[in-house]
Amino acid sequence: MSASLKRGLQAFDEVIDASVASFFSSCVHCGLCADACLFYTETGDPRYTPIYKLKPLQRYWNQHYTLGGKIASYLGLTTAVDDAELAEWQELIYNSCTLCGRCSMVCPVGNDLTAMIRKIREGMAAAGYAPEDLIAAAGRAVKIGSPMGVRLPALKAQAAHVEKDSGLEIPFDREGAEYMLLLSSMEIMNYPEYLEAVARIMKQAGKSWTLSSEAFEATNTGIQIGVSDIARTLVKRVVDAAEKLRVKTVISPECGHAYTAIRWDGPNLIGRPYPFEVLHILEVLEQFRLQGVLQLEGSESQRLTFHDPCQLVRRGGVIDPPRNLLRMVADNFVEMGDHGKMNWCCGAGGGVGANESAAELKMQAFQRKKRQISELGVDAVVTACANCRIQLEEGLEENEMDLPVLGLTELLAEHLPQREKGERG
Amino acid sequence: MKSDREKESGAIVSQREETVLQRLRRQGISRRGFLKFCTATASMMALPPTMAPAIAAALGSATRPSVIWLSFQECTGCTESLTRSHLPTVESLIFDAISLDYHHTLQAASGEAAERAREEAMARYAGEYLLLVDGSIPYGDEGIYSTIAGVSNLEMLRQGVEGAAAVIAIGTCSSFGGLPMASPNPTGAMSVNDLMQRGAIQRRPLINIPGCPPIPAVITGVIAHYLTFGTIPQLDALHRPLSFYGDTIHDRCYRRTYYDQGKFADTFDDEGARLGWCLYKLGCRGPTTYNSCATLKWNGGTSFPIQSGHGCIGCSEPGFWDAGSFYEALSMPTAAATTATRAGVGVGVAAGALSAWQNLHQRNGARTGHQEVKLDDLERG
Amino acid sequence: MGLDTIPIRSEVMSPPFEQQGIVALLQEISQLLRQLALSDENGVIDLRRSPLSPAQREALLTLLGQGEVSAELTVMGRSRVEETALAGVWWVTHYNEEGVVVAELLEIAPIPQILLSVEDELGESQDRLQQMIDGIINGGSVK
Repeated sequence: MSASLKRGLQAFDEVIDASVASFFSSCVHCGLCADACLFYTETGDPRYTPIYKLKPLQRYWNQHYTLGGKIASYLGLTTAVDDAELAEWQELIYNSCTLCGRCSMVCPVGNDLTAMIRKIREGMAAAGYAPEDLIAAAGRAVKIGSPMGVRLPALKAQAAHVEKDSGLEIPFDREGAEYMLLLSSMEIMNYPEYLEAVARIMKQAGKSWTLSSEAFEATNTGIQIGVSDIARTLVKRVVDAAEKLRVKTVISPECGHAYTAIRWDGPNLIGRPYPFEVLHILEVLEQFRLQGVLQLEGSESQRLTFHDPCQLVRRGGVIDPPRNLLRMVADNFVEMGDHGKMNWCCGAGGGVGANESAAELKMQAFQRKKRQISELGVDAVVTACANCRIQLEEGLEENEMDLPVLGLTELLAEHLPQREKGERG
Repeated sequence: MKSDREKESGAIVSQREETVLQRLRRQGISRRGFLKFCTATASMMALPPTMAPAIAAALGSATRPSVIWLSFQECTGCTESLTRSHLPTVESLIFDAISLDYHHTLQAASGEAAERAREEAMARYAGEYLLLVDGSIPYGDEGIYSTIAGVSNLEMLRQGVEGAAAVIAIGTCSSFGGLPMASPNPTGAMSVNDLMQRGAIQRRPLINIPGCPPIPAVITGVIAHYLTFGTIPQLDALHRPLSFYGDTIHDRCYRRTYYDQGKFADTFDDEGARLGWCLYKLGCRGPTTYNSCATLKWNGGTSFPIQSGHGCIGCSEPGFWDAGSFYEALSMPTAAATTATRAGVGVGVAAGALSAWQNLHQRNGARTGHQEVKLDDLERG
Repeated sequence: MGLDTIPIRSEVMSPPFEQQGIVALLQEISQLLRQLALSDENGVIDLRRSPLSPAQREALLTLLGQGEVSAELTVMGRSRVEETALAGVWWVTHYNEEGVVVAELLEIAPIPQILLSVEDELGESQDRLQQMIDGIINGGSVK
């Protein structure tokens, strides 16, 4: 057995716990998860049935942890999990799953299939079967601090631009600030308007906030690729920075898995609770709305819809805030079919977007979202995840649909009273 | 005589057009009284308590619908359950809010006059009335086993369903067949749903309220929902309203914590029974029975079977009566195990324990032997 | 193999079994108080829908304590409104005419809904007062 396969199987041993045992024991093979998965519905390929993607882990568990399975292996009735099998499953586990969590919602016996995919990725990554692009991204995240290779000077340059355009200060390393803002590399490079929007909203609300020069990146490649050790290193950076600056709240940006990583997985990874609160930017804005410190004027007359980021609605339960916020500025807001907790994924989450070998498949998966959007006849789509936004933009362009995709925070900032915008520090 | 009756029916019509709120006001019930009534209704219907104002608004304008109640192969226990609720209660107020135009047991009229009242109500409110049914319907030998005024139950139900806005099956017999359907089922008894599926009667929106008998508050709660929202409540696959049948008795049982801790009564007179531990091993059907007994309770909220020391017998589930002894624990084998199988079980348990010990060892080994997965480890070799 | 043979690592601190229901309820009250402070929105918890044993119910009563205000209403049977030791948290019990509890609520509000007088009633009161005044002026006697 190769050293890498041995590492992979050892990782399987580590992730098999009571929940995995009960999930595999209770599966009734009904196949309902197939219809919940957009990779199955959009391709019709039965190999994309979520429970099937878990086959190697299920066989390993059966052979090593059940009496019948042990006897069967002893008698030579089953074959061991080997490199060939893992190689074959790489595509199923990484390319055709966005960890969107929809299958977990429909399982009639309550199996959290998504959590099991997350677990099987631990073994796959340790055995060397993670996609190359994700390995490279993880390398950049650990060594440089950003999966896209964005360094502090690049952020500082963007911040300087924003300061010049808006006349507002972008604070770095301010000790004792109430909020610490995290960003995703995509926001720094592709959507710098987000930073300006937050700065202006904070100014109006009269809240103190800061960026950290030691931990500004919110994304966590360790979660996507399935290596808890890397995920822990990345979470620890944020926790250390937040503790050093003694902030009350850390704000996760418009990015789905970053929120899951820092909000839900983080404390389990580092093995202790945080001394600060973690909120998604939309949760913060909703609090501002309720406190009456988010005052907006004017409204959008165009027909808008909202694409729910999966991690926000299904893992985080953040369903009402974006709607409450949108209604402040949108006269003509329409809901998409299956919106809220049963929304359909854009097709690029969970590392799929960063994985070049999944490029074709993710566009096929996008067909679902395309149909959903076109039947609404909207003028624009609003979302709150930079990753969804890129996929939506690429997908709409490829399908020749001329439709702008807007970030919710930026849309709100556009409706701040004008005088605030003109202010110069 | 004739003119008197006309006057009487005229009065009934005008009373029906009065709204529920007006009627309650006429009975001297204040705004606070109405708010209290709506709060109690929301609580009973398992709606969020913040819904009380919405209920008040809806009931304020709802008029009293006509209700026809047909009884077939039944024991009158369902009616008893309803009328023995502690009067006057919220339940009785709801009964003020409907016009009960036909009910064997409760109506004053008898003989041909009673049947005529049913026919008149069916004609006047065709397409609008609620049809309540208790008792199962004999389907064998063309339904000859039970007739009322010379009409078979099957035929009376068929006529009643035709003009009904919705059908509510009250009790386990009309919902699932119940006791009359128990093996060998000599009359070929069937539930309302069976007959709809078979095409013997027309399909109409159907709500099942099983239970032997059902909890009175559940019957009135469903009617209140219909009055309030003009629609039938959300149902599960067996047509039961989710607000009352959404959880198992077990999930809502106050003894649940003992189950989770593994503390069971083994006999009805041991220490565990005295201490009020879980009755699972004594055959309690709580884990497989969907009903509200554990929260709404019986006799005006006094108690329910488990609270008085007996397991749930699952009276509101399909197949009740043919589902084996009430005193065998749910997952135990139904036939007595022979010595050979016992020996087999013994070997199996030992092997299982050994296997489990190995599992523990393997897993713990993996956890303690954890070597950090570093970037370089992500390559094969 | 049984599931109990797999070691489970508890990753959160949890209260003892008997108290879990109570802690959940206290959390809910705290959440509703926060909501009241933020948005003036009253909150209500239906106690009959929470599976509390009689002992847990007593424990909850003791924990919440007795406040300064209590009120008794006579309206379709009795109703009792009692402030707990926590300002803004009210224990409301509605009985029917036979003294059976028909609803039991925890209301999180500056003052419980059922105690408020509403606008319609204020108008009615004014009308009746005017009638009294007219009666006195015209008839000369107070009844």
